[in-house]
Formats: sequence, C-alpha cells, structure tokens
Amino acid sequence: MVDSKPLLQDIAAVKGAFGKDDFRTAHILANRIMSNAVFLEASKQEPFLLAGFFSKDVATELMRIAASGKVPPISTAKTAALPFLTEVVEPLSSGTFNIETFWQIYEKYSDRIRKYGNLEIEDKVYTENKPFMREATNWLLNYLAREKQVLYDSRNAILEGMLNEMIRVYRSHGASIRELVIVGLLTYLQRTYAYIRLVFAKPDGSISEEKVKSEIMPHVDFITSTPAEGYPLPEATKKLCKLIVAWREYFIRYLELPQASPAQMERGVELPEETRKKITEAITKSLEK
Amino acid sequence: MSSATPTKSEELERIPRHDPKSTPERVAASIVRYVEKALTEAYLSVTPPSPAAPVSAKLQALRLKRLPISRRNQTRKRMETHDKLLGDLYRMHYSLDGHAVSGSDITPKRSPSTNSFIPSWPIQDGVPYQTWPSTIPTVDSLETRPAGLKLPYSSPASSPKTTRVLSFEYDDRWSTRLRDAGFDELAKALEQSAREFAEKSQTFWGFTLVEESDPEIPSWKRNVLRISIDTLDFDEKIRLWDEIDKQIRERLAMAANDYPDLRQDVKQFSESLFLKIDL
Repeated sequence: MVDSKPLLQDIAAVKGAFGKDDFRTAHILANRIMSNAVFLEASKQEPFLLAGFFSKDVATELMRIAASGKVPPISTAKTAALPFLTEVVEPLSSGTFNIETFWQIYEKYSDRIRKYGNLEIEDKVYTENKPFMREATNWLLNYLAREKQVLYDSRNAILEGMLNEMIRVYRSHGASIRELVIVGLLTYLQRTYAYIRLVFAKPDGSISEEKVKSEIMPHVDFITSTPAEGYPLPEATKKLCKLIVAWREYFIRYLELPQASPAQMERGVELPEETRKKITEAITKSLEK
Repeated sequence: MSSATPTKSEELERIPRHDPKSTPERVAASIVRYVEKALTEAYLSVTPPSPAAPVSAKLQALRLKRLPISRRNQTRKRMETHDKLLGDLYRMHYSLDGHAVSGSDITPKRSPSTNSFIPSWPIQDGVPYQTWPSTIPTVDSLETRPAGLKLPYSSPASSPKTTRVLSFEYDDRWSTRLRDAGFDELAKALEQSAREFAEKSQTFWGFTLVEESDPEIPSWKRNVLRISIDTLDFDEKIRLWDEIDKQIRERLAMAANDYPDLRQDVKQFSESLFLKIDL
C-alpha cells in the first residue's frame, strides 16, 4: 500500500506558500500533488488529484489577480479563496472526502473568486447569468462536435479557443456545476492534447492519427455528449482524473512544453517607467525638430 | 564609400520617412518595444556560468577557513555576491523561458547548454523544432504553431509587482465574512484605496482590518484598519494618516454610488470604520 502521507505534506506546503503570498510556488506544489497522486493505488488517487486540481486553480487565479490592474485587491481575493481550499482538503486526512461536496465547494469558490481579476468596468456592468453561460457552452460543444476533425491538424487551437470563450463568459456571468465540470474536463484535455500535438506532429502539419483517435477523441465525444442535466458527478470526475493522470504522465515523458507560458515570454524584460518616459521625451523632441 | 556613421538623432529623423503618418508617440512606443525585445533576447543568449561542483565548493570553503579573518570576510562577501548574481541570472532565465506551468519542481533548471537534464526540445518524429524556444519571437511562432498561444484563462502572471504594501490582512471575523457574498465589494474598495495611496507614497505600509468590540459596550462593534508605516517622523505620520483616511472614505463613497444595492452596507461600514496608525 502506497503511503499517502507525502501528499498530505504537499497540501500543507501549498497552504504554506499561499500563506506567504507565494502563488507561483503554490502553483508548482499543486502540480506536485497531482504528480504524487499518480504514484498511489488507483482507488486512492481521486481525492488527491482533485485537491491538486483545486489548488492549481486557486494559485492560477491568484497569480492572475495579482498581475491585474495597478492595485489588485489580492489580499481580499486570497482571504476569500483560501477557506474553500481548506474545506476541500480537510476531509482528505479524515478520509471523508465526497465528490458531490467537492463540486459544491468548487461552485461556491468560483462564484466568489471569478470577478476579482475583472476590469472595473466589467465589474460594474455584468451581472450573474448562468443560463447564458449554459447557452454559450452548449453552442461551443456543438461546434466542437462539428469541427473535431481539426484536432488532426497540429496548427489548430480549437480547445484553447473554446476555453478562452467559456472562461471569459464564466468570469462575467458565473457558471453552474455542469459548466464548471466541462471547463475542468476541457482544460485537462487541452493540457494533454498540447503534448500530443507537439510530440506527434508530422512534417506536413498533421498529427499522428492513431494518437488523436485513441487518446483524444473518446474524451471529445464524452464532453460533447454532455446531457442537459450534466453527467453524474462521479462519472465526470472519473474522466477528469483520467485526463489529469494522462497529463502528468506526459509531463514525465516530455517535461515542460516549450514556451508554455507565452505571457511571460511576451513580456520579457520591461524597461522602468522612468526610462520609457525619457525615451519617449527624447524621441518626441528629436522628431519635432 | 559611405560617410561617417549616422548619429542617433539622424537615425531617428529617418524613421518618419518610412511611415510619415506615425506620431512621435507611436515611434517612441515601437522603439521601447524593440529595446525590450532586444534586451530579452540578449539576456537569454547569455549562458550563466555553471555553479561550482560540490567538491570544489567544499574545497573552496576549507581554503577559506585558512585565510586571516579580514581576508576571509572579504572573500566570503565576494563569493556571496557572485553566488547571488548567478542565482538571479538562473532565476531570470527560468522565468523568461516560461517554466513552472506544469512543473512540480521548484529548483530552476539549468539552461540547455550547461549541465541540463532537460533534453533538447522536442523529439518530434525526427523533425527538430526550429530553435530552442527562448530564442523564438513569440509573434512569429504564433503563425506556425499554437504552442505559444496566450491563454487568458490559464496564463500565469508575471513576477509579483514591487509594492509598497508589505502586508494587507484580515482578522478571523473578516476572513469568515469574505467567504460569504456581500462584503467583497466593500473589502475590495478598501484594499484598493489603501494600496493606491500607499503605492504613491515614499514609505512602506502594513494594513490589518479587524473587528473590535467596545470594552464597555461589547455589542458596539467597530471596524479598525490598523496601519503601520515605515517612517519615524511623527508629523509625517499624522499627515499621511489624515490623507489616507480622506482617500479611503472618498473611495467608499464612490463604491456606494457604483453599486446602489450596497449603498446601505457601505454607509454602515464607513460609519463603523476607524483608521488607527502606529505612532
């Protein structure tokens, strides 16, 4: 029997990193929870994979909020988010983890945190409208079902594009558990697919058909056939965990995807505001002569 | 033969000839972007030297012990500065390379040309990827493959901003309140106005919002924003106290206008809010 104590220690480490406002480290430690969960017996993996999933989400959100605007309300966001994390991870040590409760907490957390990184103008104007999120999601799922052949072309970005739209709508209007589950499934499908797209791409731009057919299409079919009331949570969660494990296994095989963080790459080195000002002044002066 | 090298201002004057419609601001913005990009590329093209191997580091430490105290301290200081610089270089490389998205290891990896345990990326059916990703301009790579897409839903943030606010905390009661809807707009407005004020100042700040009961009438609760500032000048503290109090109340009044549903809550909160500065 594999000892799950190291995973409880991972969780303690994540909480410690959040406590110090070190969201970047918390993010890495969340990845670590999921990686370590892979080593457990299959029957024990699920709660820890979900704890990692939740921690990674919190860390990513807080990093995004911390980088938004001039004076992000990061302390308020953190104070609002962390009790939910505690609520999710506490049952892990007592062995009372429950999937239904997990998703209920995740929904409450999402409702509380989604607006923090939004622009002030968005904050003032948009109101909660979960039915609209459902409509948008259904449209996008139908679109994916129609266009799924594009997944054989390594240049496509359909999963990223769908997530982009879904999360934009979710941030403005909120989402119910059904849509949150779909976003979770698509997120980890995209992470797994990103490896396949890169590793199994052929010189003509296509991707190894066999890989896409066996590792991606069954998940695409599952997600696009989501019933109106959503899948039973245990079934959807099992799929999500399968995708997380696949993603972690790809990480073992190929490590970090190159340029997986283009936002940082794009930012690169930034000149201090003062220097920018001086350059602008000098250029304006020279050109006005 | 060409004439002498043109001066900076001659080069600048030539730019509008290529695009006569561009404004000086636009030219300046392009040049700033170009400089930033060139600096990033230059930075990434530098390969930081490998840190000393454990054995030679140990030998160095033993040798250090034999030196007279004054020289020992001097050498140790120099070595520490060198190590710090090396650490910073690796961290910078690491962050510009866009790592830590899926990674579970906090230790920065070596660059590929040193003692890297990261294989040359990727192994792709025998077709090598164009170049090491850190040298690929993001914009160009977007045209060919989506690996460099900016994903607003998941893109990790840049390094934390430098800030004058060392801490902003809530006591347990406020933490519980923030878990439930209704108080976040208030708390956000409070935190943002405090941070805005602090960022414009020349000193460092710490804030804690607590709920206090009156010692004589326990049912009378008030919210106290405890403030500590890194300045010793008493008069300056009083001046900052006055100004921040004014700014926070103005901001809360604005929030009341922006969110009519919260008007009553904001009013009550403003009335029960006291700012207390560490003198």
